[in-house]
Amino acid sequence: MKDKRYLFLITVIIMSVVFILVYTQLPYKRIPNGLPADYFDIIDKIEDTNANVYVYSDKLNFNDDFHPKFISKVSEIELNRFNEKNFLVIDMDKYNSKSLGTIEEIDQIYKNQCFYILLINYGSSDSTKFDELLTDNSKSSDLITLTYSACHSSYHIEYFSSGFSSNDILMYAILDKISMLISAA
Amino acid sequence: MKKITIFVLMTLILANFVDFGHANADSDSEAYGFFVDSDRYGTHKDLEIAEEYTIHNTKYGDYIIGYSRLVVLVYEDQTDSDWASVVIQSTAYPKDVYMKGGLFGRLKFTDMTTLSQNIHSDVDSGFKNWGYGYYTDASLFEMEQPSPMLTISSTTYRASIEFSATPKIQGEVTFDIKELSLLYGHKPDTEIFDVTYKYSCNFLDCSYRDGMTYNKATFLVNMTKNASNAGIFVNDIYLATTFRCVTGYPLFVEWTTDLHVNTLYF
Repeated sequence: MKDKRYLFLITVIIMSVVFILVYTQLPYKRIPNGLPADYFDIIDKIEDTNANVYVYSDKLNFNDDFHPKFISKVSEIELNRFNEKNFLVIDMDKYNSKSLGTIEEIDQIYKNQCFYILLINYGSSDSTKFDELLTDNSKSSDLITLTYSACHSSYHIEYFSSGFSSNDILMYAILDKISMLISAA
Repeated sequence: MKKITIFVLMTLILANFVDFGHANADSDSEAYGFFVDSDRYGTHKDLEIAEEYTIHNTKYGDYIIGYSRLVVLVYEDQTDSDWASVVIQSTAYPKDVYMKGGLFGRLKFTDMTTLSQNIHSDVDSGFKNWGYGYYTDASLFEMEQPSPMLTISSTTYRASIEFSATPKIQGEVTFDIKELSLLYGHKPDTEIFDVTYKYSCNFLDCSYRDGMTYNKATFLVNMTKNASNAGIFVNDIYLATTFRCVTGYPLFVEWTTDLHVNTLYF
């Protein structure tokens, strides 16, 4: 009788430990390690606003949590001037080796089609392709956002002043930036 | 009587179409919460926007625990090129995160909060001994609604600071709101503008320092003491944002992230 009581007690203790471990791991398992708790809120916000997000990159996959439109040519972009939530993410690591389109084509969607342009890995790739659009302060950055005044409230350049230690943090920064731009639009 | 009626009507119609000295704010300054008279200051000579994450490095990986941003606009006085105006907006956003730690590397919710933001500007550091180098006055330092809050307040954030040949004031201004206090200092001989926004809870309500907040600052630069500086203005502005962990790990540890922008116009 006493043995059964001990067995029951041990079982309860083991179950409690397992429950605590499972409880503290499971609900948050899907957020990539190192990213803030608002990760899925940001993704939901972008998806709920029907923002058009185009990505030109081989490295960004957003962990399959977010599904932008991956393109290989500017001509694949559906132009819609009436939607002010258009984003083009250009990975300069890919841009430097392959062709997304001419500067004139990118200029066209930037200036005439209300696209926000997000340049990633610009500083680390030592690119100079967009130098004429950038300020000296921003050229070394790995996440630069370009906004043109004709479509939005003003023309300006925003840049992260330091690099990103992991691809997950870079991907989060892109999503966070898009989310903030949607809020400000 | 008829003539008077027609005259009054014509005057009313004219008044509707003619602008009698209406001041227009520069749209960029408006976007960041300032009224910069576009007739007097024109468009900005420089606009810099820098942003940064605060990262906590652990053996389990790097964690984003905060975000800060610095927006700086520089204007030249169109009526007197010896004067320049600098307006600054800063953003603080603590980021909560599930962080691994402890004995078994378990995930634990880490609640982050903003402690303070410090804006420091070494105005044109290449030149010294300006006498009174710069000042802010009441009309250019209205901190009306620096952050989006549920209840709009236009008076509780008001601060008036004036710097002159001799430092008239140096100390602390506490805002009525109880959640934000301002510390500032000015030393005319070193041409340093320095202001710290300190966050605190209002009794048990800590929502202000847990959310995204904005702070504003502005100062004028008097370039009359430096004749060679006409038309050239260099200004280094630094933002230091301090976040603290209030629950989770590592408890009560503080992180400070520096942002620096260099504004320049010719």
